[in-house]
Amino acid sequence: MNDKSHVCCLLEAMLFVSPRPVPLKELADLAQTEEETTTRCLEELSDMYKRRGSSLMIRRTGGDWQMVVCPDYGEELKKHLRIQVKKGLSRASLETLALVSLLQPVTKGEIDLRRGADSATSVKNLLERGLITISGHREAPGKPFLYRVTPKFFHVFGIEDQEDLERLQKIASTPGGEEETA
Amino acid sequence: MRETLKRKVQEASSLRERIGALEDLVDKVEEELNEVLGIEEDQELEEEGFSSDQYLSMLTDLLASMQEREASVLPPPSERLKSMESREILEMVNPGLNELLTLYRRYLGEEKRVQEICLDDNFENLIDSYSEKLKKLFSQNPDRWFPMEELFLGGKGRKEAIATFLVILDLVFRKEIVTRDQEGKVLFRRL
Repeated sequence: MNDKSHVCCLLEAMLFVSPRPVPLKELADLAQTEEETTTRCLEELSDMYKRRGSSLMIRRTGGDWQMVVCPDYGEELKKHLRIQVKKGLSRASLETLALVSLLQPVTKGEIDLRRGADSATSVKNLLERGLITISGHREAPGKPFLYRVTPKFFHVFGIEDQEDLERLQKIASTPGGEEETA
Repeated sequence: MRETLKRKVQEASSLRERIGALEDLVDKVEEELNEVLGIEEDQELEEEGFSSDQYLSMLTDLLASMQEREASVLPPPSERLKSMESREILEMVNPGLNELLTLYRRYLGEEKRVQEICLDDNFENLIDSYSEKLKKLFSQNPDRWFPMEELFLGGKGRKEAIATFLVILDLVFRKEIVTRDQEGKVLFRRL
Protein backbone atom coordinates (compact mmCIF):
# COMPACT_ATOMS: atom_id res chain seq x y z
CA MET A 1 0.00 0.00 0.00
CA ASN A 2 1.49 3.37 -0.99
CA ASP A 3 1.59 6.40 1.30
CA LYS A 4 -1.42 8.08 -0.28
CA SER A 5 -3.60 4.96 -0.03
CA HIS A 6 -2.52 4.59 3.58
CA VAL A 7 -3.46 8.21 4.36
CA CYS A 8 -6.84 7.81 2.64
CA CYS A 9 -7.57 4.60 4.58
CA LEU A 10 -6.50 6.21 7.85
CA LEU A 11 -8.75 9.22 7.27
CA GLU A 12 -11.63 6.93 6.27
CA ALA A 13 -11.14 4.93 9.49
CA MET A 14 -11.10 8.09 11.60
CA LEU A 15 -14.32 9.36 10.01
CA PHE A 16 -15.89 5.93 10.51
CA VAL A 17 -15.37 5.96 14.28
CA SER A 18 -16.02 9.64 14.92
CA PRO A 19 -19.60 10.49 15.90
CA ARG A 20 -18.98 14.19 15.26
CA PRO A 21 -17.61 16.12 12.27
CA VAL A 22 -13.81 16.13 12.53
CA PRO A 23 -11.84 19.37 12.00
CA LEU A 24 -9.44 19.28 9.06
CA LYS A 25 -6.50 20.10 11.33
CA GLU A 26 -7.18 17.04 13.48
CA LEU A 27 -7.30 14.84 10.39
CA ALA A 28 -4.09 16.36 9.05
CA ASP A 29 -2.40 15.75 12.41
CA LEU A 30 -3.56 12.14 12.39
CA ALA A 31 -2.32 11.52 8.86
CA GLN A 32 0.80 13.60 9.44
CA THR A 33 0.27 15.41 6.16
CA GLU A 34 -0.29 19.01 5.08
CA GLU A 35 -3.89 20.21 5.29
CA GLU A 36 -3.91 20.64 1.52
CA THR A 37 -2.91 17.00 0.95
CA THR A 38 -5.41 15.87 3.55
CA THR A 39 -8.19 17.81 1.81
CA ARG A 40 -7.27 16.21 -1.53
CA CYS A 41 -7.42 12.72 0.01
CA LEU A 42 -10.78 13.49 1.62
CA GLU A 43 -12.18 14.81 -1.65
CA GLU A 44 -10.99 11.67 -3.44
CA LEU A 45 -12.59 9.50 -0.77
CA SER A 46 -15.81 11.47 -1.07
CA ASP A 47 -15.80 11.05 -4.88
CA MET A 48 -15.09 7.34 -4.54
CA TYR A 49 -18.14 6.88 -2.29
CA LYS A 50 -20.28 8.86 -4.77
CA ARG A 51 -19.01 6.90 -7.79
CA ARG A 52 -19.85 3.54 -6.30
CA GLY A 53 -23.31 4.73 -5.22
CA SER A 54 -22.58 3.95 -1.59
CA SER A 55 -25.18 4.28 1.14
CA LEU A 56 -22.55 6.26 3.02
CA MET A 57 -21.12 9.61 2.10
CA ILE A 58 -18.13 11.63 3.18
CA ARG A 59 -18.86 15.31 3.28
CA ARG A 60 -17.71 18.66 4.60
CA THR A 61 -19.91 20.68 6.92
CA GLY A 62 -18.87 23.96 8.49
CA GLY A 63 -15.32 23.25 7.36
CA ASP A 64 -15.19 19.89 9.24
CA TRP A 65 -15.46 16.42 7.71
CA GLN A 66 -17.79 13.54 8.55
CA MET A 67 -19.01 10.18 7.29
CA VAL A 68 -22.79 9.81 7.32
CA VAL A 69 -25.56 7.62 5.98
CA CYS A 70 -27.07 9.20 2.83
CA PRO A 71 -30.55 10.68 3.36
CA ASP A 72 -32.30 8.10 1.13
CA TYR A 73 -31.01 5.18 3.16
CA GLY A 74 -31.19 7.18 6.39
CA GLU A 75 -34.91 7.65 5.87
CA GLU A 76 -35.46 3.88 5.60
CA LEU A 77 -33.17 3.14 8.54
CA LYS A 78 -34.90 5.71 10.69
CA LYS A 79 -38.20 3.88 10.22
CA HIS A 80 -36.71 0.44 10.80
CA LEU A 81 -34.63 1.40 13.84
CA ARG A 82 -37.31 3.77 15.14
CA ILE A 83 -34.82 6.57 15.47
CA GLN A 84 -36.38 9.66 17.01
CA VAL A 85 -35.23 12.87 15.38
CA LYS A 86 -35.41 16.05 17.42
CA LYS A 87 -38.36 18.18 16.33
CA GLY A 88 -37.38 20.58 13.57
CA LEU A 89 -37.52 24.35 13.80
CA SER A 90 -40.80 26.20 13.40
CA ARG A 91 -41.41 28.37 10.36
CA ALA A 92 -40.88 31.48 12.51
CA SER A 93 -37.53 30.21 13.78
CA LEU A 94 -36.45 29.21 10.28
CA GLU A 95 -37.35 32.69 9.03
CA THR A 96 -35.36 34.26 11.84
CA LEU A 97 -32.44 31.96 11.16
CA ALA A 98 -32.57 32.77 7.44
CA LEU A 99 -32.40 36.46 8.26
CA VAL A 100 -29.49 36.02 10.68
CA SER A 101 -27.56 34.01 8.08
CA LEU A 102 -28.34 36.62 5.46
CA LEU A 103 -27.74 39.82 7.38
CA GLN A 104 -25.30 38.80 10.11
CA PRO A 105 -24.30 40.45 12.35
CA VAL A 106 -27.85 41.62 12.91
CA THR A 107 -29.95 42.89 15.81
CA LYS A 108 -33.31 41.50 16.92
CA GLY A 109 -34.89 44.85 16.03
CA GLU A 110 -33.66 44.53 12.44
CA ILE A 111 -35.01 40.96 12.27
CA ASP A 112 -38.38 42.07 13.66
CA LEU A 113 -38.54 44.84 11.09
CA ARG A 114 -37.89 42.45 8.19
CA ARG A 115 -40.31 39.82 9.47
CA GLY A 116 -42.96 42.28 10.56
CA ALA A 117 -43.32 40.32 13.77
CA ASP A 118 -41.69 39.94 17.15
CA SER A 119 -38.85 37.39 17.01
CA ALA A 120 -38.08 37.15 20.73
CA THR A 121 -39.19 33.50 21.07
CA SER A 122 -37.44 32.45 17.87
CA VAL A 123 -34.18 34.17 18.85
CA LYS A 124 -34.34 32.54 22.30
CA ASN A 125 -35.02 29.13 20.73
CA LEU A 126 -32.17 29.50 18.24
CA LEU A 127 -29.80 30.62 21.00
CA GLU A 128 -30.83 27.62 23.14
CA ARG A 129 -30.21 25.25 20.23
CA GLY A 130 -26.81 26.83 19.66
CA LEU A 131 -27.60 27.77 16.07
CA ILE A 132 -27.00 31.49 16.60
CA THR A 133 -24.82 33.36 19.05
CA ILE A 134 -24.36 36.89 20.34
CA SER A 135 -21.38 38.40 18.59
CA GLY A 136 -21.33 41.87 20.16
CA HIS A 137 -23.66 44.84 20.27
CA ARG A 138 -24.55 47.62 17.88
CA GLU A 139 -23.26 51.08 18.77
CA ALA A 140 -26.76 52.49 18.84
CA PRO A 141 -29.20 53.62 21.53
CA GLY A 142 -29.87 50.72 23.89
CA LYS A 143 -26.79 48.93 22.53
CA PRO A 144 -28.80 46.00 21.10
CA PHE A 145 -27.12 42.59 20.78
CA LEU A 146 -25.81 41.50 17.42
CA TYR A 147 -26.47 37.90 16.35
CA ARG A 148 -24.69 35.61 13.93
CA VAL A 149 -24.86 31.93 13.03
CA THR A 150 -22.60 29.39 14.77
CA PRO A 151 -20.54 26.49 13.35
CA LYS A 152 -23.38 24.24 14.55
CA PHE A 153 -25.69 25.95 12.06
CA PHE A 154 -23.44 24.72 9.24
CA HIS A 155 -23.39 21.17 10.68
CA VAL A 156 -27.14 20.98 11.32
CA PHE A 157 -28.06 22.16 7.83
CA GLY A 158 -25.21 20.35 6.07
CA ILE A 159 -23.75 23.57 4.71
CA GLU A 160 -20.08 23.32 3.74
CA ASP A 161 -18.87 26.74 4.85
CA GLN A 162 -19.50 30.47 4.62
CA GLU A 163 -18.75 30.43 0.89
CA ASP A 164 -21.43 27.78 0.43
CA LEU A 165 -23.87 29.93 2.36
CA GLU A 166 -23.10 32.91 0.15
CA ARG A 167 -23.74 30.75 -2.93
CA LEU A 168 -27.08 29.69 -1.46
CA GLN A 169 -27.95 33.30 -0.78
CA LYS A 170 -27.18 34.14 -4.41
CA ILE A 171 -29.35 31.26 -5.64
CA ALA A 172 -32.19 32.51 -3.48
CA SER A 173 -31.78 36.05 -4.77
CA THR A 174 -31.64 35.03 -8.46
CA PRO A 175 -34.96 35.28 -10.35
CA GLY A 176 -36.10 31.72 -11.02
CA GLY A 177 -33.81 30.41 -8.31
CA GLU A 178 -36.72 29.03 -6.37
CA GLU A 179 -36.98 25.98 -8.65
CA GLU A 180 -33.33 25.15 -8.25
CA THR A 181 -33.54 25.18 -4.48
CA ALA A 182 -36.85 23.39 -4.07
CA MET B 1 -18.79 63.87 6.60
CA ARG B 2 -19.72 62.59 3.12
CA GLU B 3 -17.27 65.05 1.54
CA THR B 4 -14.48 63.73 3.74
CA LEU B 5 -15.30 60.18 2.71
CA LYS B 6 -15.39 61.15 -0.99
CA ARG B 7 -11.97 62.71 -0.62
CA LYS B 8 -10.74 59.52 1.03
CA VAL B 9 -11.93 57.52 -1.98
CA GLN B 10 -10.08 59.83 -4.37
CA GLU B 11 -6.91 59.81 -2.31
CA ALA B 12 -6.79 56.03 -1.76
CA SER B 13 -3.52 54.63 -3.12
CA SER B 14 -4.43 50.96 -3.46
CA LEU B 15 -7.50 49.14 -4.74
CA ARG B 16 -8.18 47.57 -1.35
CA GLU B 17 -7.99 50.98 0.34
CA ARG B 18 -10.31 52.46 -2.27
CA ILE B 19 -12.84 49.64 -1.83
CA GLY B 20 -12.73 50.17 1.93
CA ALA B 21 -13.33 53.89 1.54
CA LEU B 22 -16.12 53.26 -0.97
CA GLU B 23 -17.80 50.85 1.47
CA ASP B 24 -17.62 53.50 4.18
CA LEU B 25 -19.19 56.00 1.81
CA VAL B 26 -21.96 53.57 0.81
CA ASP B 27 -22.63 52.80 4.47
CA LYS B 28 -22.90 56.48 5.24
CA VAL B 29 -25.29 57.08 2.33
CA GLU B 30 -27.37 54.04 3.36
CA GLU B 31 -27.47 55.28 6.91
CA GLU B 32 -28.71 58.67 5.80
CA LEU B 33 -31.24 57.05 3.46
CA ASN B 34 -32.52 54.83 6.24
CA GLU B 35 -33.04 57.83 8.42
CA VAL B 36 -34.88 59.80 5.79
CA LEU B 37 -36.70 57.08 3.78
CA GLY B 38 -37.10 54.06 6.01
CA ILE B 39 -39.84 52.02 4.34
CA GLU B 40 -39.15 53.44 0.86
CA GLU B 41 -35.89 51.48 0.85
CA ASP B 42 -37.80 48.18 0.87
CA GLN B 43 -40.10 49.42 -1.89
CA GLU B 44 -37.08 50.11 -4.04
CA LEU B 45 -35.91 46.53 -3.54
CA GLU B 46 -39.25 45.22 -4.73
CA GLU B 47 -38.91 47.14 -7.98
CA GLU B 48 -35.48 45.67 -8.67
CA GLY B 49 -36.37 42.00 -8.36
CA PHE B 50 -37.77 39.87 -5.60
CA SER B 51 -39.43 41.69 -2.76
CA SER B 52 -37.71 41.28 0.58
CA ASP B 53 -40.70 39.15 1.65
CA GLN B 54 -40.27 36.79 -1.32
CA TYR B 55 -36.55 36.72 -0.76
CA LEU B 56 -36.97 35.78 2.89
CA SER B 57 -39.65 33.23 2.07
CA MET B 58 -37.40 31.49 -0.45
CA LEU B 59 -34.48 31.29 1.90
CA THR B 60 -36.75 30.00 4.66
CA ASP B 61 -38.13 27.33 2.29
CA LEU B 62 -34.58 26.40 1.42
CA LEU B 63 -33.60 26.02 5.07
CA ALA B 64 -36.78 24.01 5.72
CA SER B 65 -35.96 21.58 2.90
CA MET B 66 -32.36 21.28 4.10
CA GLN B 67 -33.61 20.68 7.64
CA GLU B 68 -35.86 17.89 6.37
CA ARG B 69 -33.03 16.36 4.36
CA GLU B 70 -30.62 16.55 7.28
CA ALA B 71 -33.11 14.75 9.53
CA SER B 72 -32.49 11.68 7.34
CA VAL B 73 -28.70 12.01 7.30
CA LEU B 74 -27.51 9.64 10.01
CA PRO B 75 -24.11 10.23 11.60
CA PRO B 76 -22.18 7.35 13.19
CA PRO B 77 -23.68 6.58 16.62
CA SER B 78 -21.77 8.06 19.52
CA GLU B 79 -21.89 4.62 21.19
CA ARG B 80 -19.44 3.31 18.59
CA LEU B 81 -16.51 5.28 19.90
CA LYS B 82 -17.54 4.74 23.52
CA SER B 83 -17.75 0.97 23.08
CA MET B 84 -14.33 0.91 21.47
CA GLU B 85 -12.86 2.87 24.37
CA SER B 86 -14.51 0.74 27.04
CA ARG B 87 -13.50 -2.49 25.28
CA GLU B 88 -9.87 -1.46 25.45
CA ILE B 89 -10.17 -0.64 29.14
CA LEU B 90 -11.76 -4.01 29.91
CA GLU B 91 -9.00 -5.84 28.12
CA MET B 92 -6.26 -4.00 29.97
CA VAL B 93 -7.70 -3.92 33.47
CA ASN B 94 -8.34 -7.59 34.01
CA PRO B 95 -5.95 -9.62 31.90
CA GLY B 96 -5.89 -13.33 32.58
CA LEU B 97 -2.81 -15.49 32.49
CA ASN B 98 -3.40 -16.41 28.85
CA GLU B 99 -3.63 -12.74 27.86
CA LEU B 100 -0.43 -12.03 29.74
CA LEU B 101 1.27 -14.92 27.97
CA THR B 102 0.07 -13.60 24.62
CA LEU B 103 1.47 -10.18 25.50
CA TYR B 104 4.75 -11.78 26.45
CA ARG B 105 4.84 -13.73 23.18
CA ARG B 106 4.28 -10.52 21.28
CA TYR B 107 7.00 -8.89 23.32
CA LEU B 108 9.42 -11.64 22.41
CA GLY B 109 8.18 -11.98 18.84
CA GLU B 110 8.97 -15.70 19.05
CA GLU B 111 5.56 -17.27 19.37
CA LYS B 112 6.55 -20.82 18.51
CA ARG B 113 9.25 -21.18 21.10
CA VAL B 114 7.24 -19.70 23.97
CA GLN B 115 4.19 -21.77 23.11
CA GLU B 116 6.20 -24.82 24.04
CA ILE B 117 6.01 -23.75 27.68
CA CYS B 118 3.04 -25.45 29.30
CA LEU B 119 1.16 -24.19 32.28
CA ASP B 120 2.00 -27.02 34.67
CA ASP B 121 1.72 -27.10 38.44
CA ASN B 122 5.34 -26.23 38.79
CA PHE B 123 4.95 -23.11 36.69
CA GLU B 124 1.85 -21.97 38.58
CA ASN B 125 3.66 -22.47 41.87
CA LEU B 126 6.53 -20.46 40.51
CA ILE B 127 4.16 -17.58 39.66
CA ASP B 128 2.55 -17.69 43.12
CA SER B 129 5.89 -17.75 44.84
CA TYR B 130 7.33 -14.82 42.80
CA SER B 131 4.13 -12.87 43.25
CA GLU B 132 4.43 -13.11 47.03
CA LYS B 133 8.13 -12.30 46.99
CA LEU B 134 7.76 -9.27 44.75
CA LYS B 135 4.80 -7.91 46.68
CA LYS B 136 6.81 -8.24 49.87
CA LEU B 137 9.80 -6.54 48.27
CA PHE B 138 7.71 -3.56 47.14
CA SER B 139 5.86 -3.23 50.45
CA GLN B 140 9.13 -3.23 52.40
CA ASN B 141 10.57 -0.54 50.11
CA PRO B 142 7.59 1.63 49.22
CA ASP B 143 9.60 4.62 47.98
CA ARG B 144 12.35 2.83 46.12
CA TRP B 145 12.46 2.57 42.33
CA PHE B 146 13.68 -0.92 41.39
CA PRO B 147 15.45 -1.53 38.10
CA MET B 148 13.82 -4.40 36.22
CA GLU B 149 16.81 -6.73 36.50
CA GLU B 150 16.67 -6.60 40.31
CA LEU B 151 13.18 -8.10 40.20
CA PHE B 152 14.28 -11.28 38.46
CA LEU B 153 14.89 -13.16 41.69
CA GLY B 154 14.83 -16.73 40.49
CA GLY B 155 17.81 -16.81 38.19
CA LYS B 156 17.88 -16.69 34.44
CA GLY B 157 16.08 -19.91 33.51
CA ARG B 158 13.38 -19.54 30.86
CA LYS B 159 10.49 -20.53 33.13
CA GLU B 160 11.72 -18.33 35.98
CA ALA B 161 12.15 -15.33 33.69
CA ILE B 162 8.70 -15.75 32.20
CA ALA B 163 7.09 -16.23 35.62
CA THR B 164 8.77 -13.08 36.95
CA PHE B 165 7.79 -11.11 33.88
CA LEU B 166 4.17 -12.21 34.19
CA VAL B 167 4.06 -11.26 37.86
CA ILE B 168 5.46 -7.80 37.06
CA LEU B 169 2.90 -7.32 34.30
CA ASP B 170 0.14 -8.49 36.63
CA LEU B 171 1.18 -6.00 39.34
CA VAL B 172 1.35 -3.16 36.80
CA PHE B 173 -2.08 -3.97 35.36
CA ARG B 174 -3.55 -4.18 38.85
CA LYS B 175 -1.98 -0.81 39.59
CA GLU B 176 -0.07 -2.14 42.57
CA ILE B 177 3.17 -0.89 41.09
CA VAL B 178 4.03 1.85 38.61
CA THR B 179 6.70 1.94 35.99
CA ARG B 180 8.80 4.68 34.47
CA ASP B 181 11.67 5.00 32.10
CA GLN B 182 14.93 6.57 33.24
CA GLU B 183 17.68 6.93 30.68
CA GLY B 184 16.59 3.77 28.93
CA LYS B 185 16.23 1.79 32.17
CA VAL B 186 12.80 0.52 33.17
CA LEU B 187 12.09 1.17 36.87
CA PHE B 188 9.26 -0.02 39.11
CA ARG B 189 7.87 1.31 42.41
CA ARG B 190 4.93 0.55 44.67
CA LEU B 191 1.91 2.75 43.90
